[in-house]
Amino acid sequence: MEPLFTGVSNNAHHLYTLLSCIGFASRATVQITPDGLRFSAEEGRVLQGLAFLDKSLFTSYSFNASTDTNQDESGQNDEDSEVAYPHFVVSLSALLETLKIFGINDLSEPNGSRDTNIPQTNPASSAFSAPALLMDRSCTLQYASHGAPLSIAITEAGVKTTCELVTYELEGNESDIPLQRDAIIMKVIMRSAWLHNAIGELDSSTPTILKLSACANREPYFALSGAGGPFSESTVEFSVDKHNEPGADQTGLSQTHKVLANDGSSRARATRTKMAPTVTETFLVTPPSAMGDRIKQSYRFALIRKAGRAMSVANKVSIRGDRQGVLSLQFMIELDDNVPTGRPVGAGVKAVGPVCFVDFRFVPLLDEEEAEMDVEVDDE
Amino acid sequence: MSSLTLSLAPPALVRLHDVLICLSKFSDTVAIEAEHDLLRLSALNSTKTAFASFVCEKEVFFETYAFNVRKDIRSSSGSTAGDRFYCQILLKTLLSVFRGRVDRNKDTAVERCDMELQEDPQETECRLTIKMICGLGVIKSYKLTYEPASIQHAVFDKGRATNQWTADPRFLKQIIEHFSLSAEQLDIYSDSGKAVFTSFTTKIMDGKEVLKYPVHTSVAADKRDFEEIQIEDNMHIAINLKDFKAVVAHAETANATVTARYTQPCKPLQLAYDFEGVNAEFTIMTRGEVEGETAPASSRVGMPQLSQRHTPAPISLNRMNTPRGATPNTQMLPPPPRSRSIRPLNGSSTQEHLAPTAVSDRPSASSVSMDYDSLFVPADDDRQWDEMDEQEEPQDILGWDASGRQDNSEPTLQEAEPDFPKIADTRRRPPKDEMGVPPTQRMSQVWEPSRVGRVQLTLSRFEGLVSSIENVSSQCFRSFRSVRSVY
Repeated sequence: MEPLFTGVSNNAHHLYTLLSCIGFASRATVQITPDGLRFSAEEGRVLQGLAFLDKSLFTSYSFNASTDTNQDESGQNDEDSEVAYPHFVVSLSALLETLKIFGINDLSEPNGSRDTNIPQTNPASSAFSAPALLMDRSCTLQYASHGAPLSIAITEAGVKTTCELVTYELEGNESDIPLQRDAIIMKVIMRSAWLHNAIGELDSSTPTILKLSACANREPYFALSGAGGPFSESTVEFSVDKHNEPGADQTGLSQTHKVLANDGSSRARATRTKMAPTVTETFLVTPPSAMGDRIKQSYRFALIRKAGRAMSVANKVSIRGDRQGVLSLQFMIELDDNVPTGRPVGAGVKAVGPVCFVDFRFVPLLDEEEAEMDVEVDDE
Repeated sequence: MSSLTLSLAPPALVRLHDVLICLSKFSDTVAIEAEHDLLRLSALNSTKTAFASFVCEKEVFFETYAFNVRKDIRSSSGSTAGDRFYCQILLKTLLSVFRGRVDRNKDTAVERCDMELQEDPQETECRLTIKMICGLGVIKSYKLTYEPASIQHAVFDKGRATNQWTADPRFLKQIIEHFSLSAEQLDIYSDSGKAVFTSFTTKIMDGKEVLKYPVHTSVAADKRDFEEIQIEDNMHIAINLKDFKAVVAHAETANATVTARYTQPCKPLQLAYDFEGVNAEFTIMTRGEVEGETAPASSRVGMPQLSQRHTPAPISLNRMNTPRGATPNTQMLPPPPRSRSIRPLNGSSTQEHLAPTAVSDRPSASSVSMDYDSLFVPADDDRQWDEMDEQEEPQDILGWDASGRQDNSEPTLQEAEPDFPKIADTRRRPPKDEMGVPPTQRMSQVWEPSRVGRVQLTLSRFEGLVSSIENVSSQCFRSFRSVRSVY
């Protein structure tokens, strides 16, 4: 029988990079869709990490949804409008271990895109460095039928490793943390490195709470602060750069931003007419009238810290908050292509390499005055 | 109410970080003192044998510096005395603020650092605000808690120092590199055109078990390698090697030549250097053999009185028992003859020196007590307590009795004491001066806490000692356990 799903990737490194972003949990929920694999990890119903392995990451991607629909009723809690796709739980830690079995591990990632500001300058791009030597590695993911183990086969130079991960049924209702897309009151896009830097800075005082404060028309425009630490509290504020007054040198500013942001810079310039922190590309804060003009929310710092891996790997982050305070950190990760030539990618991928997204959602800490608003979040 | 505002340029920020690292090798907290024209950062180690102080000059080190005091209200926290403000801060938090401020990320490198401290009796919070103004409009601010402190300074009279040498820190580092990592002490003396640096570890014995093996490494350097050297020949002076290493390491980063000044063993030694508007001084207690030690400690009558004060305590203690019974006895004992056992180069001969009165095991005990030489407080009862615990054999107590007779011939620390600084805050002076207790004496001596409590404290110290020694034999453990079971 033809397997339900087969995906072949010749860059296990990419899969590893993406999945390690949500590696804070030991188990992940996997959903197979015609467009790709959706991995979701959560903790305590207040933090959720989503990594979407787009089908463009795979050289071949076959998903036989039709054969599956009849045998897929059980264990489905997906009341979404779409067809019920295979949905199961696997051990994420085991999957990550498997993916790095030939030593693709942290060779270039941690320092790769964090320290070098431009991701294209991959330090490990010389001919004999390990990533180049790993060219002919292929990784096959297979899910034969409903209830079958998820099988990962990694082949390298004639050595083949097969790993079968037991799949579990979903426990209860695995619903996502709801982000009200129609009630987004804050949207900030900036280089992920800034956020990572700021969180790392706050982390040094071992806070327990991350406070986020954003305001469209007066300072501080956007500030993150850590509170609850034993000896100190710290704040990182993103303000308007005093040296480049926004009105005075529109050109200078937008030029720097063109360097930083290859896409979406036009929109960034449009918003620049308003007062916005220098490091942000997009800065939209539209609090509802009930909140006043400043958005303030608190989150558990320990949870935010778990997105640190994604922050270090990603290029850009979109920080969104909805009316109920749910925080979404969407990371855009430009996977650098270690194989400069002759990579037969089926899907239309940019020259820089595929762009993927990892999404984190956080439920806010309740504030006294906003308690009545946030109760709804928990009910949903 | 007092307020302090200052700002630092990036190079000074790096300097400040280096200073903090150096201070962290001495203590967990840094004392900050602000005066009108200078800011002093200092640290005193826990055994009070080393004091590190960095004085930052207003004009050179800071971009801007403003310090104001209004004397009308007594401050609620922190302390203002006269025209000064002082407080202390945990070094760990300060270090985390200043860590990694070197230009790592060019876009958001720190452009300026502002610090502000407002002391207001109306405010309940004590906060030092530090703002890092970075590129691209990123502002990182920290609010650090500080706490009030009574700040002590070690005073060192440069004019009276008879020995002095000046050397490049890189040269000193070359010397240090020869020393074993486990070496604890550093002995310095000069001999016919050579300056000899000897690192050593004093031998610690427990019965027949050697707890710490002596290690000696001597490096003889030509005096011409020093920029300046004027020291008495054949006078041994010993300091803690770890302190010396910390000083040399920082002096090297600051690229400043180090000057050492001292008079004689058992009096403080000072290492000093200047760099970029910062005046660094390290006052370190020394050990060694004092010449002319037959002279009684005439200047200091406190100690004899102190021991007399405790004399009425019963001497007819239960000798077969343990330190608990021995409490009153040891208090009247003099400090062990540290001046003798310090001799590093001939470990075996120390025993001969020490044991004219049939005290076989004492060398080990006295060598332990060395570590408690203090800049401020003369060796007190607590320490002798430690020694009692170090050796469980009851016959050692007899040995202590015997040494009691040598009281006046061992003036080492007492003699050194008058040179010591007085505590800056006079309020701390113990109230029982009329009893002859030295003003810098520990409260524990004055109050005489319960004996049981005291024994527990010293046992825990002993525990720490035992665990810190690598090759502890099972026999040692057994005897330790037996001591423990007594309690």
